[in-house]
Amino acid sequence: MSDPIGFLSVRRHPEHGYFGGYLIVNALARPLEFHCTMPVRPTRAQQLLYGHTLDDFLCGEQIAVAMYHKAKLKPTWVFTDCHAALAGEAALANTRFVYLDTSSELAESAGVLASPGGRLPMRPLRVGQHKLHVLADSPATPEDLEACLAGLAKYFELTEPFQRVLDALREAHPVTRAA
Amino acid sequence: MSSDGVAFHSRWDEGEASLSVGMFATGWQHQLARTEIEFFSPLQLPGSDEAAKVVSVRFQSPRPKVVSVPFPEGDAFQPADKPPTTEVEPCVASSAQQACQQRRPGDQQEQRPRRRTRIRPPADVVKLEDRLFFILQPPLEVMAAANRLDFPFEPFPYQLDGIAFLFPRETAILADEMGLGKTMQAITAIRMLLLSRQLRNVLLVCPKPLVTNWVREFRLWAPEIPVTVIEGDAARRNWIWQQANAPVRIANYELLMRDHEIIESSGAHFDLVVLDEAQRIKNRNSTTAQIARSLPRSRSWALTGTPIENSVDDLVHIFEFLHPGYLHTGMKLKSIRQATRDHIIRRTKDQVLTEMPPKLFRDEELALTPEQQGTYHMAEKEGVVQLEEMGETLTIQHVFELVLRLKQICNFDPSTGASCKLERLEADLEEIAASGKKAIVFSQWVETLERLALHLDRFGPMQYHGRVPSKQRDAVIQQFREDPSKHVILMSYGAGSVGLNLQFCEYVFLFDRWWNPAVEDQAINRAHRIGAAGPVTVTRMMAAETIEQRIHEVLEEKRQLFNELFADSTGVPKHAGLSREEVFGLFNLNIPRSNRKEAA
Repeated sequence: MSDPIGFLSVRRHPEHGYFGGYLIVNALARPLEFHCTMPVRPTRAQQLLYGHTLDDFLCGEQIAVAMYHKAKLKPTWVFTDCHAALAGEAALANTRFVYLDTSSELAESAGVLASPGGRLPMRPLRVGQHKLHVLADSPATPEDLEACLAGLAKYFELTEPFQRVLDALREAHPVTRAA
Repeated sequence: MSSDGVAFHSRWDEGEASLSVGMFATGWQHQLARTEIEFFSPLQLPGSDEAAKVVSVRFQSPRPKVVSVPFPEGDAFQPADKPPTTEVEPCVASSAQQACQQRRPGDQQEQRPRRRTRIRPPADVVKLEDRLFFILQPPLEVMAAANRLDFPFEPFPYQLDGIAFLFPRETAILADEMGLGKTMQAITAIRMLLLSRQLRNVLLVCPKPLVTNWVREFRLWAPEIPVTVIEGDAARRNWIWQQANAPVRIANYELLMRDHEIIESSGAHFDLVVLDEAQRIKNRNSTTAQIARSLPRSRSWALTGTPIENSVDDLVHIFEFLHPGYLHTGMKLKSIRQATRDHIIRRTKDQVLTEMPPKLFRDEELALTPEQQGTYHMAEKEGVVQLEEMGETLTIQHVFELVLRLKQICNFDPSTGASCKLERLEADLEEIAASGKKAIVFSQWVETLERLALHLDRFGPMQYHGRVPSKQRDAVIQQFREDPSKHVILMSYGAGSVGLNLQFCEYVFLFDRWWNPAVEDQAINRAHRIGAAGPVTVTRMMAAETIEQRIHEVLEEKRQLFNELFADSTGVPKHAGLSREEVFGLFNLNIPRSNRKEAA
């Protein structure tokens, strides 16, 4: 049986702050665990101290790491559609964060829930048809990622679980639903 | 130098440097006040002898609060193993098969499912964990592909929507129009629930003639699911009822009534009971409805193309099986729509099969022949007089008798055999036969059909009605389908309105009209279903200025009622069906006081 895979998303609501969702699935796309955060609103001090790196701090170091630690399963590969969440990788040993742009696919359903952009430099990691990115200093290699993806079922679409995470966030936090 | 809220004073001399830091009360410093602040002054710089003074500000951001949703272990599908051998008849025409795209999906395992049919939680699931359980499930296509659930034919998107609707629901009505594949949708939903171990035993109840059809469809769409038909002598049936581990058992309605006591005494409990053709329980007080309601079960589904045949009470009584007490008679239509919205799914061909050939209606108002006219007017005049003379003893049955007598005259003059409808039908069939097409003619009377057969001999008429033995009926259909000299089949509404696939017919004639439009629709849909080669022309014959025309107006009101309940309109019809007043009103009769409370 292949290792589980994580799908982590952090979305920013213009009024209610940041919402994190983390879905762990098996190689057949069946859900194994789900975790989500209560809304996170940055303090004024955080805004001043972190400035333009605030999203990296909140999405990565705070939200992504908190959800990762709460999970029982610790996947080696965590896909995220939030660039800023990549910053969480530094705090986690033996786990690689991979950025996947879902904006074109989920734009309509995301509504006002934006995916915060990050400041950390990324490098592309082209594996098959997938256009993925990892942090510039990440030790992840295309070969490692290819081995991970090879363990997935052929019909497994990497963008699909993010729709589930988004729907779950909307369900758990009705305030995020579009008016 | 200085900046907002902080003042820095520095002095640089040769080999010596010092820095003093001061804090001023400004807008953002109240945040800092909560954290530990240490002051060290002056700061030691390289080369200086004194220790540098360091200012440390530690911010301890609380971790975000995380909510976790556990997933029950063991909900994963059991792999769909090779099918068991089942004792079923060879597969012939399959309605569900017809109701799917007539192309194999290729190797489904190798294809990426592009469409994503998601399972949504029903509105009555309140707990967040339970709702997220459904929301976080993969799309139906992924679940099917992941668990090797092959489909013999690629389902239409609306069929996947129907499966996703049934899957999470404990109470549901699948009310798709006839011919859209309700059978396939129900079987696939049952299959997925069985394989995910959310169900262990299912009881499916259907009309007796449809039992073999269900067995065949299960073998086609869920070959790995063992199906047991409840039949045989009492001892055998008793034994089958006690088999709690039988995944799917199929019983017919008549047998259900016969075995009611056996079911009760066996202590059986069903995870799911499915009623096919659920309009069978539309009469709340019927024995069938009472027994269906008494079946011990966890989930209840009803399949029907006609949840309303006469009035909204039909739907209310079906809900008595699904969710006792949820609806009640006398509820306003708007309230019923609101209450049932999450429990009913209904699609029509017009909505989902945009590529279906059109259904063209022709209302033929035919003038009676002089012979018919004379007989008709005499019969109506005398009949009405007799009814009026009955006074307080007049009942609705007496009125019905007159209606039937007049309708028969509209078909054929009893003494001369003259018929305006036959004349028109013959003319139309000439053209149909000349173009090599086929037609279905419906009547409510077997006598009418037999009489038509004599007159239509040159068109090779086949007959399919109550007087044709059940064992011969499949052969009749097969011959009609395959023999190019057979251009017309004569059917009764009772025998030919359900369970038949005659989509090779492009013409349907309603020689006389049934009492409610739902039965007529079922009859028409024998021909107008998936796989229909071209447009289906439906000719509704009615004798002008007769009782048929008056009934037609009432039927149109019923059709409007149905459309208003299941369409998006918000209006409420004034009349909910063929009321007692309307039946008496056909002849401008007053309702006797003694039976004013009698129901029509």
